Amino acid sequence: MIRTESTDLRSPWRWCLFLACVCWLALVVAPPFAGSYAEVVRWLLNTVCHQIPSRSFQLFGEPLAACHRCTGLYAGFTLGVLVWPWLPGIAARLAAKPRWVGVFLVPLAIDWAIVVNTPASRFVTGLVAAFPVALLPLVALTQRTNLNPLSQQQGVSRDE
Amino acid sequence: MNDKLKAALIGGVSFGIASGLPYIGAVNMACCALYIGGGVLAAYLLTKDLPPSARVPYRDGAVVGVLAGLLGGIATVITSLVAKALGYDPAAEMAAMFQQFGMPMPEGIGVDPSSGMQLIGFVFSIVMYMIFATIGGLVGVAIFHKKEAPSG
Repeated sequence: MIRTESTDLRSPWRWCLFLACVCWLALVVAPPFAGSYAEVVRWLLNTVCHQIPSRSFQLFGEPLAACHRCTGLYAGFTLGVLVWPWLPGIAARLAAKPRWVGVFLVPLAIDWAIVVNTPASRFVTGLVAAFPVALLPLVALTQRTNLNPLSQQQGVSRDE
Repeated sequence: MNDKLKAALIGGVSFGIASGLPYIGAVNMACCALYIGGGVLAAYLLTKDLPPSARVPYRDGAVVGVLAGLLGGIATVITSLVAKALGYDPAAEMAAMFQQFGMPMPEGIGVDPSSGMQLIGFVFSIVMYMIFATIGGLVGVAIFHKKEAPSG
């Protein structure tokens, strides 16, 4: 029998990954609350995002430290890390054909390429692109901890 | 040389140098494209000579991505220091770009940091390179991994 990926993604390490994602999101949302340190936060994240105020969400009149699209990407990834372990069936299907992750990047590429896009379209396409990518580190963590060797051999989840 | 280290060195350093170069480095503002690209290239170089297998080597992709990020981050820092020593001013480049697109310069970007902050910035950029290159490595093995044909 061909071995497939484990779909038991409930490695204890996923909470470390989730915590790191939440910290990253907190950094993005920090400027409106950071007072005089807001500039420092923006300066730190400047290497990964253009931070154009008109293309960033605003909180209390202050732009966040990442643009709509990057905020969507980070939010989608964080959401994915939290949710994928609870969707073993879909996770197994995507893990068996991981190239499908690339398909979810297409809306983002189209939205980036077209001249007229909106804050909502930028955020949502970022969210959609990053959500499936979050499955990959979760599977890598499972390979690392080798939590469920039986499911790796048989291609089934412990929960199924 | 270890296959993983070789792949990480080529992928990380090539994209790392590009990230530190004037104008080309600005590509990173599009969703960290160069950081992720370094990890994807490293993963491609790692998987291209591997035999087909049923299991996608995500763990290897993550390891090669972290290594590519570390080496690429160091390459970025060195390249940007050399570019600065040669008279390149990244803040002026940013200001010119924003002016060209008729947009106001975001706060904090034109800040000229102290040497202590510069050091923190370099360490932070290496850590960011490692995070995004790891994601690139994982995506790379997912895309380039050769799947074993079903037997029987």
